[in-house]
Amino acid sequence: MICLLTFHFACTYFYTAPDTFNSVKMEIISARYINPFFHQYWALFAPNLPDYNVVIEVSEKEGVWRNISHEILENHYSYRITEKGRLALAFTGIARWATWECAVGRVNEKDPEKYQHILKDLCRGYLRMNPTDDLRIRLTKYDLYSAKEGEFIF
Amino acid sequence: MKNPIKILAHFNRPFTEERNVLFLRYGVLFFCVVNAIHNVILLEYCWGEYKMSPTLSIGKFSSNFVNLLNEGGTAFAILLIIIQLLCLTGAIFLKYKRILTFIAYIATANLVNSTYLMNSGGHHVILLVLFFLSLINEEHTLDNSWPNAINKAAMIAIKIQVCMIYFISFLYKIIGEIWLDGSALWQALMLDEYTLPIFKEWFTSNNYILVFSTYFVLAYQILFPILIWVKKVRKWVLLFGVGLHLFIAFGLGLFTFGIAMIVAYFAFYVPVNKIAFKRIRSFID
Repeated sequence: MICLLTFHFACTYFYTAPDTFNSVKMEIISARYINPFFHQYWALFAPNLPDYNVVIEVSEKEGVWRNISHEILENHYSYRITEKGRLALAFTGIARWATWECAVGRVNEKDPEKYQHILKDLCRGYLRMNPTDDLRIRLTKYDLYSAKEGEFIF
Repeated sequence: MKNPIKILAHFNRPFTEERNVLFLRYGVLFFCVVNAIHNVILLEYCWGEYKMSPTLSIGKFSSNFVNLLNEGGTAFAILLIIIQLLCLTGAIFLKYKRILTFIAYIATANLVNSTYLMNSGGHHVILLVLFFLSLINEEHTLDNSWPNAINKAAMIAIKIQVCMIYFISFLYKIIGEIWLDGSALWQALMLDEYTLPIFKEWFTSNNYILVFSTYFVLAYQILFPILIWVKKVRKWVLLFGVGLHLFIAFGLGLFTFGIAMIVAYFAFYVPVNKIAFKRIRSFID
């Protein structure tokens, strides 16, 4: 029992610990045991948080923009224990990944606009549109540390 | 030489944490009911026509068992939710606790993995607790027997897992600048998805509270894995933790994570003494 527990939590450590306190080789080996049944990730607001907010706007018609970030977040603030929080988490998470994707110069070779596509699909789902329907998305970034106007991402 | 023998003997002594296990079972059931309500309301977004979480690329054969809902399917998802809740309830009242909890674990893993974009760490906490609970049958308490030893090991595993969460999170935090300069909580509350307008206004006008709270979180995360094993201070450590996780649930808006961690605390302490527990148990029976 003691051996089993030691093995399990040693693998958990190597799978989850940050690179600074970890060995890449051990991380790869432990992933073989941990995945898929014990998969976990405990960065929890660390090491650093994003220093900007993102606003998602969508447009079905030329020139008419709808701020869906505002809708989703207002619902999340008003109904704290409901499912609204999970929608807010999904949208802002992907919007941040899409912002990152644009900032680092679209590094994903297979799908250079992977997160932008996922964001588009999320918005289509939220608006209950068909996957083939035309939809334009505008993503704007607002810096937390300056009162500058929002920076247009795409 | 005494200590290793003591540790080995621990697994042979009768399992006495039935109260903790029962509270854990109720806690996990509560979490899964809340999650099921969320999922049913978001059914179309979770597994239907407007499925939000993209399919996962499955590498290993074993991944298939926990990714049955990868491509969606509302009817199958509802079936899994029903199986999950029935098995969790059955594990509280029936004697086939291990098998019922394991089935509930597989159902939960499928439901969680297929909605990963909308999940918080709380879903993973509950999944891990469920896995270890599936190794426990609190009715098997015969000393010097394998089922009893497995109960003991699984209970220790849940406790170490909770400690691991704090310890690993602490390691990530000490390599982050914002945690060391005390601005992390301010920055978190400035992010639209992790704030509440009323908190944002109140906390930002009392900046020193935010700096203190940031360091408090850091101290709590490294001290928890040590102090939780000290019986004298355990209650206080958990009380602070409940406060912290209620703030995460309602202040930062991560409701599922806050609740999952509070549920996991039942592994260490239950607010009911043995006599009251016996009354509750006989009432349930």
